[in-house]
Amino acid sequence: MSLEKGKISGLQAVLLLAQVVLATATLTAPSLPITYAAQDAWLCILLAGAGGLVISCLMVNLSLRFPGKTLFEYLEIILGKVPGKIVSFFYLWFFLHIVTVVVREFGALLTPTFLPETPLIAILVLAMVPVAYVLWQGLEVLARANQIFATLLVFGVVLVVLAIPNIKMTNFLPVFDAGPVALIKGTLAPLAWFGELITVGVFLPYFNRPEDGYRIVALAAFMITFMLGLAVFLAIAVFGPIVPASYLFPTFNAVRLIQLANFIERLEILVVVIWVAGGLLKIGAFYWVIVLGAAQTLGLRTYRPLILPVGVIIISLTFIFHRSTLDMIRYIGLTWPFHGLTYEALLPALLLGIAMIKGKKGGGR
Amino acid sequence: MKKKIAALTAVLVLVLCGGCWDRRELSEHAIILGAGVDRRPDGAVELTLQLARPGAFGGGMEGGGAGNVILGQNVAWVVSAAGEDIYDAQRNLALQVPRHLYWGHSALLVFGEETARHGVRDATNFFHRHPQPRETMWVMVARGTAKKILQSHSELEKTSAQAIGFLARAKAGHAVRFIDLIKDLASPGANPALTRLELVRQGEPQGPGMEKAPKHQEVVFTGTAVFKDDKLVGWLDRHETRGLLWLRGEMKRGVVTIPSPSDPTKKISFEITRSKTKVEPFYDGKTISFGVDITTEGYLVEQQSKENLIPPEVLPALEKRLAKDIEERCRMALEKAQGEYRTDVFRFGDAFHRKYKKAWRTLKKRWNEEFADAEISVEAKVRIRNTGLLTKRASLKK
Amino acid sequence: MVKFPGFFFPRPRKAKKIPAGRQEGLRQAEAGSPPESGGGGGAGVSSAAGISTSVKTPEWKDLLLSSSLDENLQNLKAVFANCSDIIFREFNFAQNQNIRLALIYTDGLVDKDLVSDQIMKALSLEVPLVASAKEITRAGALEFILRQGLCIHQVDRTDRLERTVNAILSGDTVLLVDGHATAVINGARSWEARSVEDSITDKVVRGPREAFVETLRTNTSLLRRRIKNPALKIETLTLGRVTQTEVAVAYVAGIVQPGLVAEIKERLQRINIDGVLEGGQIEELIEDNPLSPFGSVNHTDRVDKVAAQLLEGRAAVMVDGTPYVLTAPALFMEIIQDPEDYYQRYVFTALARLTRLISVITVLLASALYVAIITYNPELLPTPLLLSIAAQREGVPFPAFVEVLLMEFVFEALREAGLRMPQPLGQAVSIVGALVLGQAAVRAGLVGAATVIVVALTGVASFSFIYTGSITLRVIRFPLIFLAGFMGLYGLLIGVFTLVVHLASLRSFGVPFLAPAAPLVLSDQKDFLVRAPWWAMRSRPRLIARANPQREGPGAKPRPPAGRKKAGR
Repeated sequence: MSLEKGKISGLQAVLLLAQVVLATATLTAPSLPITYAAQDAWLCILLAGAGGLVISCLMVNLSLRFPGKTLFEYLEIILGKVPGKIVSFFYLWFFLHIVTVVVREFGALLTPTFLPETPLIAILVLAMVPVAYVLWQGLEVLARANQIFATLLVFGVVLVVLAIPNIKMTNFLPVFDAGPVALIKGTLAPLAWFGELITVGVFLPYFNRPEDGYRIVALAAFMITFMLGLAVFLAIAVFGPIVPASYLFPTFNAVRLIQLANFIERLEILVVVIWVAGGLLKIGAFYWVIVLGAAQTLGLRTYRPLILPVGVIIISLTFIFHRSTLDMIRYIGLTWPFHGLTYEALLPALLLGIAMIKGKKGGGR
Repeated sequence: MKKKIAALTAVLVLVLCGGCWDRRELSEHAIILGAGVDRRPDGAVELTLQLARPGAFGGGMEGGGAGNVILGQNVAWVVSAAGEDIYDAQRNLALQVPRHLYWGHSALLVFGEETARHGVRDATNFFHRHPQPRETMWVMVARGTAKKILQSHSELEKTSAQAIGFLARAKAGHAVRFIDLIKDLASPGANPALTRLELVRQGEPQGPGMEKAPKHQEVVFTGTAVFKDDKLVGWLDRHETRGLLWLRGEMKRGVVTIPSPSDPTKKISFEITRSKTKVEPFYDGKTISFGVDITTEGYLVEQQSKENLIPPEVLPALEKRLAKDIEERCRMALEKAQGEYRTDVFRFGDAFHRKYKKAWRTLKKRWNEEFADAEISVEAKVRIRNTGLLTKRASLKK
Repeated sequence: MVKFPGFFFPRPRKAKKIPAGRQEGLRQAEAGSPPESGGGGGAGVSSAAGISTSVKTPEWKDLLLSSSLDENLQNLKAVFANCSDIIFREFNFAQNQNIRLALIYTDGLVDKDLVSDQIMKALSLEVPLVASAKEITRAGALEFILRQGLCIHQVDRTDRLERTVNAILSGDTVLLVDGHATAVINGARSWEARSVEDSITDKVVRGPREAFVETLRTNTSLLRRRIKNPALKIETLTLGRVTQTEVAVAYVAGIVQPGLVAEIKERLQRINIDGVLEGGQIEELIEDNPLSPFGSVNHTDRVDKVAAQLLEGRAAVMVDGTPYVLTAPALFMEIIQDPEDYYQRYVFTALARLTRLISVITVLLASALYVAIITYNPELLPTPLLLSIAAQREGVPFPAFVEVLLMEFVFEALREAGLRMPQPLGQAVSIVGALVLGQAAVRAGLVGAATVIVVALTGVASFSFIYTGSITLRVIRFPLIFLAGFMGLYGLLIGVFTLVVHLASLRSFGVPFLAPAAPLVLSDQKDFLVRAPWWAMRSRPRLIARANPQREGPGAKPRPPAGRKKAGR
């Protein structure tokens, strides 16, 4: 435990896990389910929420078998030293993949809307600096900063309230218009987002009370479902079932429409504030998972020396993996659900199976 | 410590040297207040922009300084250029406008009649894709060219674009936001209907010495342009526009004037305060029919006829007469849309979809035809909530 | 203890001598001051008696007093060579003219009435009245003097030269008796001191006004008058190798977090500095986050505030010579707290705190936001406002960023000028600056009117909450303006994010700086953005008074007695 001394409280854990999914998903998530399921997309979110809960509970179950150990540490216990390290590296690679998507999305909103002529790399490098600073300070500061910025989510709800004049509830009719296939297609991508909750496997040992893990992931999953549901609700209620499918960030566009009392208008800046703060924290969370995991896999005493190189790797991979916004969207829509769920559901289930076979008290060591 | 200083310096250098790509002073912007899209006979797109001249807008400074409204000085500059598409036209405009064209505050998008007849779908993409133009800007169709509309000026407001914006905001006529146009274009169960703009000669000389002031043409909302898919197919006049608003359920406020039941030469006017429209489709596998229920609330604002309003049968009679008037207007609009233009501008298709989702899958492809042949009955219910400060007329000699 | 001002003025003869002596002293100090000068080479000017008085190697430190008065006087005079404010007064004992006595004290630090009436007069004239019959021997003189000769409340004795010297310098009057290797230390201190006045920095409308002064003893007495309980502990230690400044640590035993006082004392003892002139030096020497612009120790000159802080479980560090008392641990939220919050109606407090919170945000962000919006994101302004601002800026020669920096500089200069100018001129400067400069600049088209408004708003906001908080924020707003000027809102957001992370990473004596916001402490929300009514403030701040969080008993909410009959009318 010498790598990270911080402890985070139950509330902070819930908010951190929620942020890990919400930060980028609120803006990008509505598009995909609406593409497949049109006005029934909210169902996809509910389904994905339920699935996400199962996935994260799986991970908590697995982690609780090895108290005080992170995913990267108990991989070696379950699989043995060398195979464990190999799988650890696969997981690190997976988390790197996630973080590049997050970084690219982070830039994708800012570049066209707010800084169209600024090179993406400048935006992203500037973003990585405060994130690296958070990592330098450790998990506790990450959780605390996240707790402060979580209050911004209240603004998110306020924005939905302000959008009420633009909302048409009839947009949700007819219900169950989409077939089951379309529903499942629409559920996959959000499910993979929910699957990011498996980071709990790395955070859990640092909870004040790890035994509350189930409650914490349940609350987090509930929060995410609520906020994502709200985002999808907003997109459909404002734009109807067809238009949002073409938007990169339907929520952002929906907020642009708010016009109240001749002066409450042009509020998209609030979305950007929530987006930037949330995005930085989400990047920070995954960045932390990666450097901590790398340090544990490599057997280092502190992860601080890894912050700079990993940051450089993240930025470079972002540009290698996603040459344009469309590359990223294509990845999220087509590759990501399978890529993500492999690591988020399949592998953990296998690991859990092995751990159970190896003996209930396998984590005693 | 040294490392920290080095890191800090690196960040500073990055920010200071790297920054500024997007920095643009306000005085480098040409603020677009309104835009118009016309079609030239050769098929080229002509983009007309009404640009604010900030110097003329006044910043609340007395005397001297840069921003002082000089009477009679133009507060807007209208420029136009042609191009292969809208952005090409804008690029050509950049050759004559010395500042960066800035769309963030454009309140109005006007399609010329020709553009509208050839289809507006392609002309909308730029405004939807580009991050600067806002989805809340008003979209309208000009009788004639959009250029003429933008070149006019307003007597009351600073520019015609702003005047039109305020008019639309006050819910005069059938004002449509850009996003509503997009939604209508995207939905198979609806067709767009946009406000028609016309220049009308008006204005009286204001006092002695001003007789020679040129008679001025002001932009007026004169009805509605009806689209079939994205193509303009015809117009609705003011009365029919009322019917359109009621059928779309967008009548929020308005005045209805009816002849008095007791004395048809005298008029009674009502202010509508609240209105609700319910569209119920019926489908038996062959024929489609719609029942439209309109529930309206309002109050009496002017009465030129002499009847006493107090007897219990008078108000219900008025309400019935009012309902009949509303139904009549709806019928006029329906007749035009179903008979002449054969296009569903009332979003009845969406209502149908909500109820018959299975049938919709086959019907949506030829919805406009189905709609044109559908039977539509309109029933209005009116409730008069009050009669202003008077009960019966006070100035009548007994 | 206030004396007539003229009383302590040195006589002209002495006044002339002072500069010379001071210069000498300065030179001595310089000669011996560099602590790392190595070896013993840095010895200062030595006196005739061979006793060095340099700061570096005070050889007399370990000497004991001798029984010979002459030798003692010779040593002391050597120690106090060129110290013209030290008075040596020799006289004979009334009872036995053979016994010589000497009084040594620092002119200006003693109560001369007391010394002449109750020591000199008593010993040289009046003693016979008391003990006329008895013969006092040389050996019994000291005991007699201590028992019957002195009419002084506080008397102490020592046989060490160092203690004697320190006593003299601290304002005590030392009596030496020939034949005794003991110095009698008489506590008859009195010096010119500012009387207790209104607080300068924390003004209140409702609430006590008195503030601390420069004298430590007065300050401790003020505090003691507030908390009349033996649990109020005031421990003193001496800091500053040269200045020998007394520093007191005050706390309420039983409420203060165990370990906090030990921690503070340990940090204080680590201090090795030549002089302590103000609490600010100590603050920077003991705080947790030395590189942070935010201090993790607070200070105030209000007595009631310190008392309240102590009752919440904090500890106070009082430094002799300054009216500002340090309190720790400090929290960020104290920036929006004010003593008056606790005395005014609680409803008003909510408004006041909201105002201050908005002011804090304004100071930090208003100018930067203005720069970011008008140079990067004008689409966020309503159209009429944009057109109005655009009209103002039409002829302005500078970029908005430069313009704001310029005006911020002007404002800071005005503020500085207002502070440093001789008082009667201060107001004139601010009026000239605010009205004439601003108006003229706008008229001349050098800056836009909106810029002046924004900068002025920042200025007004910076005065509407605690001063020490505002100086840090005033500094931080400049980097934020830079970020806004170079990266727009995005840069600003990055800056604010970094700032919040930095604040979240701070701790003050183990307490997270952002508590009770992050980590969220629900029970402390009662005294954060709003203040709950007193009957609901049942507990002390959770993280500070962990040891003893109970403030009030239950059922504190007042209500009319249940049995009272309702009067008819």
